[in-house]
Amino acid sequence: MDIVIDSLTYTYPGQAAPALKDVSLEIGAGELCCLIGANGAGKSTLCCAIAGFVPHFYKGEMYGSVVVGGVDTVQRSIGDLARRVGIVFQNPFDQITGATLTVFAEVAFGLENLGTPRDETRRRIEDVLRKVGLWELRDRSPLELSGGQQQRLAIASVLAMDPPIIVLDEATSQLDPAGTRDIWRIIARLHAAGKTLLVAEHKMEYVARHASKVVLLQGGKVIACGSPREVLGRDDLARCGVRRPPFMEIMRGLTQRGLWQGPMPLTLEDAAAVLKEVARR
Amino acid sequence: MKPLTPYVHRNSPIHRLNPLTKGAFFLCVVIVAFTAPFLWVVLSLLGAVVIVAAAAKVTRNLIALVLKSAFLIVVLIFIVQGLFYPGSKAALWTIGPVTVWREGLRFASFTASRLLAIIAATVLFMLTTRAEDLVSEMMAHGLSRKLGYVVLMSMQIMPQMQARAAAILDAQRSRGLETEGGLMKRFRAYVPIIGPLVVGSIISLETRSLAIEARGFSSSTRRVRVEEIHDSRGEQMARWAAAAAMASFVVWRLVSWISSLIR
Repeated sequence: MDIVIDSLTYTYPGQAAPALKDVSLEIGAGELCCLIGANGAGKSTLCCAIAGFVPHFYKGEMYGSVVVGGVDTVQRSIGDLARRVGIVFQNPFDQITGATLTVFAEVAFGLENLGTPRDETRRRIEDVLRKVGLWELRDRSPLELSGGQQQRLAIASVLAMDPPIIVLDEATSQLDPAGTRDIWRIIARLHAAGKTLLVAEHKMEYVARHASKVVLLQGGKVIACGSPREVLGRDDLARCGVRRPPFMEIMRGLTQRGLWQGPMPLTLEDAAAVLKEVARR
Repeated sequence: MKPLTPYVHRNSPIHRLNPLTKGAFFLCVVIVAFTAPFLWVVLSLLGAVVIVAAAAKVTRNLIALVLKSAFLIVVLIFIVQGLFYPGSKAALWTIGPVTVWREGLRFASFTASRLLAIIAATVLFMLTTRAEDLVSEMMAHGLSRKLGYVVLMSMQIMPQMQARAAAILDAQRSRGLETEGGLMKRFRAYVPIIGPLVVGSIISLETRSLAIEARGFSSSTRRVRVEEIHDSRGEQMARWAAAAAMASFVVWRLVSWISSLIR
C-alpha cells in the first residue's frame, strides 16, 4: 500500500468542528484514486494531510496516522515529504513561485532546492516539459501563460522532482473544458506510467472514465469507497452534493424502467453504444 | 505587465560579466562620485560609464533613462543653487530682481554631475544585469534562501498586485463606487479596494507558500542553480581589488575631512 490512513481526525486551529472525522483509507501503488464530495466535505484537507501540510503547515489538532510510502508524515518534514509526494493546487497562478523569469527556471526551482546536479536537472526539465506540452514555451515568462498552461506548468514542476505519489487538489476547477481535457490526458498518462495518483475532482465524467477507485466524502467522513461504478451508482449521491454525469442519469432511468440490465457504462461512448442497442430492440 | 527592472538583453562582454563584479564596480562609482573632491574626477567617471554603456550596446537606453529620471532634478538644482547659493559674491547676470550667481552655478554643476554619475551608474548596472542573476549569485555567496526569494518574488509580484488592484477598482466602480471627487471622497473609495486586495493577496500567499514548500524550499541541501553564471579567477581578483581600493579611498577621504575639521 502506498498510502495508508488510519482513523485520521483533524481540526484546523480555531475551529470547533473537525474537518476530517475518523477517516481510514488505503490506496495501493499505481492506483488512480478520485476524491469526490461537496465543497467543504474535506477533500482538500485530505490532500493536504497526504502531502504533510496537515499538520506541519496548518498546525491544528490531529489524531490517527497518515503513512505515505512507508513513512509516517508526522515524523518527516514537508521538505523531506516533497520527494515522496507532489501536490498540485486549485489556483494555477498562485502556484507559480514568482521568483523565476522563464518556464524552464520555474520547473528548475524544486530541483535546485534539492541540490540536483545540473545535467540531471536539465535532462529532467526537458523530459517533463515535453510530457506536458510546454517545451516550446520554455523561455516564456510563467506569468504570461494562460491558466491551463500555468496548471500544466505546476504539474511539470512537481513531476520534475519525480515523486512516486502525485496529489491533485481540484486542479481543473478553474480551467476551461480544453484545459481540463489537457490535464486529464496528463493524469491518464501518469496513471499508465505507474504513478500513484490522488485526484480531488468535481467533474464526474472524468472521474467515471479514469478512476480506478473513488472515495466519497461528506462532512469530513468517508461515506463510500470503491470502484467508480459502485460509488457513482449510489442512490445517496445527490444528497452528498455530487451530480452524476447526465449520461449516467439516463442509463439509471433505463435500468429503473427495466430496459437495460447490464453494467453501468462509465463513458459517454459506452453509454451511446448501449442506447443504440436499446433503441434497436 | 511591465517588468520592474529595465534589463535589456544584448550580446556583449559587459552583459557576460559576473553580476557581483558589475555590482562591485557600480558601488565604486557611487562611492567615488559621492565623495570625490574634484569635478574632473566626477566627470571622468560619467565618461567612463558612457564608454562602458557603449561597450554593452545600451548607450541609447542609458541616455533615455537617465534623462527621464534626472532631468527635472538637475534643472531644479541649477535654478535653486544658481539663484540662492549662500554667500555668493560674483553675479553673472541680473535680470530685473533675479540674479544668477557664479558660485551657485559652479556648485550646481558639481552637484548635478555627482548625481548624474550615480544615476547613470545605477541605470547601467540595471540595464546589463538581470536581478535574478544578481540575487542568485548573492545566494551562492551566502545570502539566505528566504531573503533571496522574498526579493525576487516582490519584484515579480508587484506588477501582479497592481493589475489586481486595477481589476478590483473596475469591479467596484461598475457597482457604483465613486472614485472621483473631493479628497475625502477619494480617500473613502480606497477602503473597499484595499480590503479585497489585502485579503486576496494573503490567500494567494498561503497557496504560494504551500507550493514552494512542496518544491523543497525549506530543504537543507545546498542550492544548485541550473543556469551557471560565469565567474573567473580574474573577476574575483578584480572584485577584491575594487573593494580594497574603495576602502583606502574612503579612509583617505575621512582622514582629510577630519584633518580639515581639526584645522
